[in-house]
Amino acid sequence: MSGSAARLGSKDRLTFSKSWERYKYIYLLLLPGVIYLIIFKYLPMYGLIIAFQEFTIFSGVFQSAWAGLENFSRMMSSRMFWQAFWNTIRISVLRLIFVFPAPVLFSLLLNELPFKRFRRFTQTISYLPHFISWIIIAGILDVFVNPGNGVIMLAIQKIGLAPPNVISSNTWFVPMLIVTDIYKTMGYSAIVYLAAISSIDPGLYEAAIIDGASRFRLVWHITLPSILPVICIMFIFNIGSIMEGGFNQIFVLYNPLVYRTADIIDTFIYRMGILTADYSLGAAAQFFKSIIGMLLVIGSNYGVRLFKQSGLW
Amino acid sequence: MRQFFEKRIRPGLLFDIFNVMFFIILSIVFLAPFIHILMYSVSDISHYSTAGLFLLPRGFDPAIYEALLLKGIRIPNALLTSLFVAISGTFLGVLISSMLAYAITKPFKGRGVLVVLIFFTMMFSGGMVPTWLVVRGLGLLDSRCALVLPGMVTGFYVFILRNFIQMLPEGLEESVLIDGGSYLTVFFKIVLPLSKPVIATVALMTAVGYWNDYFSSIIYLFDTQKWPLATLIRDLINRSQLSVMEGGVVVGLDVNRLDNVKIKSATMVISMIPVLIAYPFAQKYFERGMIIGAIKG
Repeated sequence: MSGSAARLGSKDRLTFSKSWERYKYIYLLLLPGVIYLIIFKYLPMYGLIIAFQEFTIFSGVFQSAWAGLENFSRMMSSRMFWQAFWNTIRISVLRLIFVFPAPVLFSLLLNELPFKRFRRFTQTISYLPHFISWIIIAGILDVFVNPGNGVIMLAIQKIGLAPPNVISSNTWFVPMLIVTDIYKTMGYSAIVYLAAISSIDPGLYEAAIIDGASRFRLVWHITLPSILPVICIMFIFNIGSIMEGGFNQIFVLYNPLVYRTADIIDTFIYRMGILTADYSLGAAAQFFKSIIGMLLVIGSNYGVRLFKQSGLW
Repeated sequence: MRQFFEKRIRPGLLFDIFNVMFFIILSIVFLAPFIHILMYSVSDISHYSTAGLFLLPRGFDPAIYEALLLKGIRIPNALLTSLFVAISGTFLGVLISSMLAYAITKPFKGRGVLVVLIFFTMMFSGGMVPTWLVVRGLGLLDSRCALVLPGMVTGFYVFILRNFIQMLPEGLEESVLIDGGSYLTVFFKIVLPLSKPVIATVALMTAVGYWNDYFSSIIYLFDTQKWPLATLIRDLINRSQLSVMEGGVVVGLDVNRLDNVKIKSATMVISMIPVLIAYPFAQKYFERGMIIGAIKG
């Protein structure tokens, strides 16, 4: 961003007609993109005003009656909404605690593997699940933990224990989200850490080995500090998406029995705004979420910039 | 560091042994689910037990694939829809995004505003409900185009493409312009061909996103015959507790002696095939995608 702003400076005083004459083909090239952005990005943003209306599909955005903050007060007094709000935050924080460190640990251990071929092979399979749809992951999960004939459940039965119904138990659902999330994202997220590790100056290791450092100390004093900036930046970016909660994953797995622990803001918006056609309430929840989400993203981008300036990068 | 280690007897042999064992187990855990559904789908389950993990086929009976792909109509239809959505969405999305990305490297009047407007779409979104209303307003409800359009261009990919295009040498462009070529010539003859690596990355990520998308068809389509494969699989999973007949209905087959798990497994295998075929070739681009995404994001 900063580079382009600097280059812009000198030609900033171009008049529009001159600019048109010189760049008409450039305007032509950006036309489809601009039309697209207006229709599919900015029109929906404008559409959020239905959060302040008593919107009905028959009167449309322009003729629906204004409702002030009525939809927001309905939302604020809805127990379901606050449940979804706190579930979103709880699930996101749990992901930061358990899912976030997994690829760091994975890449540190992988880097210590002695055989290059094996290292490459393991890494290759580890990020295969990233490219498989959550639908398939849910289908596989069903094949394994289905209470009727799941592979793992039958095995638990064989030992003589009562298998839990993972999909519809409020105790097991969130841990199941965490485990499947690690399964799906660990290998792929590790790529960026592995790239950071491979750019460490080998001279550092050689010097430390000559000084008699053990392998653990090499990891602790060289590898980890070298990739710490990347870890911090990834962490700050992750904080920026706390309001997300992982819609695509939860939507394929959840059911009314686990709303108490698994219903997040996005699934709430879907059920209110689309399924029960309470468009204004859905838009109110979306507005709330988008505003907080934007503040978090701006905050985290600012945090990353501060961090980069702090000299640790 | 590795070569350095590999030349001498490694300190911490015990750690190595455990580490190697850990990664062997991890690899098995990562692969076993996929192997299981593949092997289950080709096993002869009328003669063998269906219990336990299938790491090898028990008997051999791939008739299910013939039934799903040749006798039934729903899976072939869903495959065609998935292919249509992924190909058209990727083609149009990458074309429009790279046109936009190239354009914003030029200092035309209004560029600053446009860049800010594109950037803003990455931070604030109208979200599901207003987007649905826009799609409805365009008369696209219940049309396959509704699966393609809403997610076609994203600010994130535009900036990834822009960052790459900015790095291209300017001399080539200038020589085309001096020879009387226009910016259109520059874009199609120079920028597009030279940007192949980043375009491949963006295209692959976009295509995988389309291929795996099940949610758009849930909100935009009423006619279940128009569903792509991913959504069909979701329906199969949700009905997993129901009878075999139900599973047969979902995939459009008249079945009496087929196991529901087998229908489900085979359908999942079919839907993974394109990704698995592309995987070895696309790996380099996938990895690059992660790194640019993480650092520039």
